[in-house]
Amino acid sequence: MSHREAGERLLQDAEILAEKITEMQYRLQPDLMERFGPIGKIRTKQDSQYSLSYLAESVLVKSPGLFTHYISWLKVLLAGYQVSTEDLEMNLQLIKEALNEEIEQPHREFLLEYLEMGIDVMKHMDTQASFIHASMPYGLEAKTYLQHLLDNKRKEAFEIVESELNDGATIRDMYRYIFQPVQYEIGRLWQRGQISVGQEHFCTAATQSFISRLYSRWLIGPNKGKKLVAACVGSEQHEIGLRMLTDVFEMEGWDTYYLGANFPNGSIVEAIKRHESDVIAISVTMTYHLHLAKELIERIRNHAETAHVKVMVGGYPFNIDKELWRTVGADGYAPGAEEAVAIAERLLNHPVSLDNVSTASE
Amino acid sequence: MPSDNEEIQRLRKTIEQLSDQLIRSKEQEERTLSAFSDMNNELVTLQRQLSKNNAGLESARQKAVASDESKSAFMAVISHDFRTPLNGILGMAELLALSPLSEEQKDSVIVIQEAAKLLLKLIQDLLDFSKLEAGQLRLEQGEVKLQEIMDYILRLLKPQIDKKRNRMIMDCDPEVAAVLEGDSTRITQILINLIQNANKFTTDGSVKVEVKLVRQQARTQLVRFEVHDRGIGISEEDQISLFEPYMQTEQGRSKEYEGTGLGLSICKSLVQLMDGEIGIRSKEGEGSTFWFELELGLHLVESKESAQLTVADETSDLTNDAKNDVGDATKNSSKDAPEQDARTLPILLADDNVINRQLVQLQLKKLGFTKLECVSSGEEAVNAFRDKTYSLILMDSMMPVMDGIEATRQIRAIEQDEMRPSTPIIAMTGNVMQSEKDKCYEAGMNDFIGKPFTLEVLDTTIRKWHSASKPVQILNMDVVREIAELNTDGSQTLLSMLLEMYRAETPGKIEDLRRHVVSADHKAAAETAHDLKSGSLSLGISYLSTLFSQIEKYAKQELTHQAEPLLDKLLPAYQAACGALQQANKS
Repeated sequence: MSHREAGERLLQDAEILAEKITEMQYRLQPDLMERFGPIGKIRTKQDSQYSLSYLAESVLVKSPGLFTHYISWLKVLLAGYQVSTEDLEMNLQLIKEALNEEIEQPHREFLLEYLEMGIDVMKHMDTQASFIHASMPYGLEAKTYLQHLLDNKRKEAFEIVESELNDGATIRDMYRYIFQPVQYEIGRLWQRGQISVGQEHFCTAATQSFISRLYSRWLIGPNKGKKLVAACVGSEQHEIGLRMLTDVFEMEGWDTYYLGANFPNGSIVEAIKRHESDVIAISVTMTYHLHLAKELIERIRNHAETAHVKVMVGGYPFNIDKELWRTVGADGYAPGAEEAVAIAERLLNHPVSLDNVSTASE
Repeated sequence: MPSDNEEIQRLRKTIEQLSDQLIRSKEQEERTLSAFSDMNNELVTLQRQLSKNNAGLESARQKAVASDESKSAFMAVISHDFRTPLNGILGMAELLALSPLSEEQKDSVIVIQEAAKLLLKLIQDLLDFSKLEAGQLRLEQGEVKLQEIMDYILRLLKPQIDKKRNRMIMDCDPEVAAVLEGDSTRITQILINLIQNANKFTTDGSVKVEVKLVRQQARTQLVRFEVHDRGIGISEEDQISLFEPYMQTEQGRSKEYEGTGLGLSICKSLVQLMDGEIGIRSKEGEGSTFWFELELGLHLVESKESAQLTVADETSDLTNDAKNDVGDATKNSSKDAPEQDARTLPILLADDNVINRQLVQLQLKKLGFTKLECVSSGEEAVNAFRDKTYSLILMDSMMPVMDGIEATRQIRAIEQDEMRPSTPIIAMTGNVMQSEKDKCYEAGMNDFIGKPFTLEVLDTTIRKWHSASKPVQILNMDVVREIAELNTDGSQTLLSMLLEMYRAETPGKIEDLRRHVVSADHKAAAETAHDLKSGSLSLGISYLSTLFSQIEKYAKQELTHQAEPLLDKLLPAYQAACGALQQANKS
């Protein structure tokens, strides 16, 4: 398990290394201070630490895609802050130097291999297209909805959803064609520096409040079907996706319990027991939280009363690397809410054929 | 220049400070935003839980309601199933008692009757209790004559009291008004319950009933009823839960004292329903005093009684007047169809239970109704009705395959289709709950007798409907003939012209009339009814005119709402009249 050890080794020292790399970069590029000031320096240190964490996590689970994806995403993000490709390249070169100096063999070799792949990807420009198109179902409505949110017109935004519902649209379609793509689009706009963190928070909160206002319309009777507990690992704020997934399960007749983020592992296991859950859905957005998901799954498996429960994972890193769910020890993975229900049902009906399940998800 | 350098140094420092502040406030902002998002997430999660719990509670509530409904349906079925065989026992015993019997046989019959009556009372208790629980029990306000109630109870309970070698003493305060207002039946029920209770636990002693005036008000009297016994008494501990349902004390539960344990709970609920109070004073071994207090209205004898008389008089006048208005038509018809007419037509009895059929057959024979046809299902009843005319139909409401309610609906439909006069249908059923009665009336039944019924009840009901259903005369043929003789020279007869005009305007006017009656517009209703009456009379339409005439009378007395039941009869009567006129015109 050398990859694993190398990843863990890097995680330990990530913060010290980030500090060192930042100091070096500002010494080599004094203009950075003039361009970005002290804030910039703090940001550089944060970004370096994130990059190291992503690298570590990606090596840990033997999934180079995680790191390369992150680098191309970071490039777009930094461009929005006037950080050039050259600046980023310099930063990655310094990471390479630091790894050479600070990390002993054989760990160093694994880390450098993945890092090189990241540096290589950085040189190819990769732009993500908008998640909203007029040609999609409710595409125009989604577009207007987003615009209202960005204009702080919460009421008007909700009116769009309400009027569609009154005209016969299903709540599920609102989730699928308005809330979900708009949420992706908000993430993309923030990455490109077109909206602020504050706006991102506001839009997400607004959509959440609409979702909660709709609950009384459709949560109308206890479901007698299978049971699902849903949780995010770590202190993830990107929980709206899992929330929507849980609701889709509920609409499909499952009895669901949404725990959300900030739930200690022990309490999650406790909740699975209490609700006599058949399936647990675990969401990971930040790649550097992958190891937390793995810990949680181990804990569920080691507990006599929860060992039988089927574990499903989902979220950004699993979408990048389609085999990653196996590495964290899950029973299955789904790229979205709609697929998740089908896979969960297959997991319960054909508990042994994990491979088939994974095929179904692709 | 040193000062320039100093200045630069100072500015640089200021910039650094400002930057530092900026970073700190940015960090602060991000922390706040992230805390805000956390809070929001928690809020939405709570909201979701709340909605889910609400949905769960709502569904639990619905389940509870449904189970309550099924309980009440269960009670209805039980009540029916118990009453049907009891009906057989009581009816046969009554007939048996009327036949020549030896003394010993007579005693046996009495025992059968008493046992059956006790069983009937227990079922009544269960029904009352379930109705009280469901909040379905309604009070019937009327005159309360306490002396009469006491006399009745004394007569009724004398055998029981004698049996325990007890004496019953009645003491009524002369200050208590002779006639009060309240629910006489329920007050009687409570007193009987308490006295029976007292008698049950006393032997060779006395049961004393006292009625006292507690407080005199301008329009009411607060009356206290006390029932004293010298029985075993009740411990303080037991007194607390004595009025709870199914509660019986240790001794009360022993075999010697029978009962459901519902009696006192029903008494308490009834007293509470009448806004009164009930309680007990007792010491073990020294007897008990059960008491209850009720605020009863003073019967304002003069004004109210006379008012009631006037109303009653006017209604009876009214039917006479209505008949007079139609002129000789009805008088003729009653001559043509004397009262025996009803008796010459057979009665149809529909009941799936062979005991019941036999019993009712015997009862009817005893009452002198010899023409009777029996069927054992709703379907057979409908088929029989299709082929034959009956003076009256006695219909069991619960029968397999097609029940009496559906059969009634179909019979009413046949009547309408074939323009046959309406035949009185009387429901006979063991289920005496209001909802069952409503269902019977809704289907078009005319009356309702609960099983078991006595000869007297059966006789009164049948006679009431026989006399009410004198065959109606749709047309006064004298008038029709006169019009027919006044024929014009044209191709169309005068009668058909008049009929055409009548047809053009009447349905609209009937609709107007319906609206006026429903909205209680007395003046407009009276005018429209009068107009319709005159128009109909001039064409010789007699039965429909009597209906208009009755509505006009009610409207003139500003009692328009009382005319509402007549509304449904208008259209069938109108159709029947038009059909008959058409027929007359052809011939």
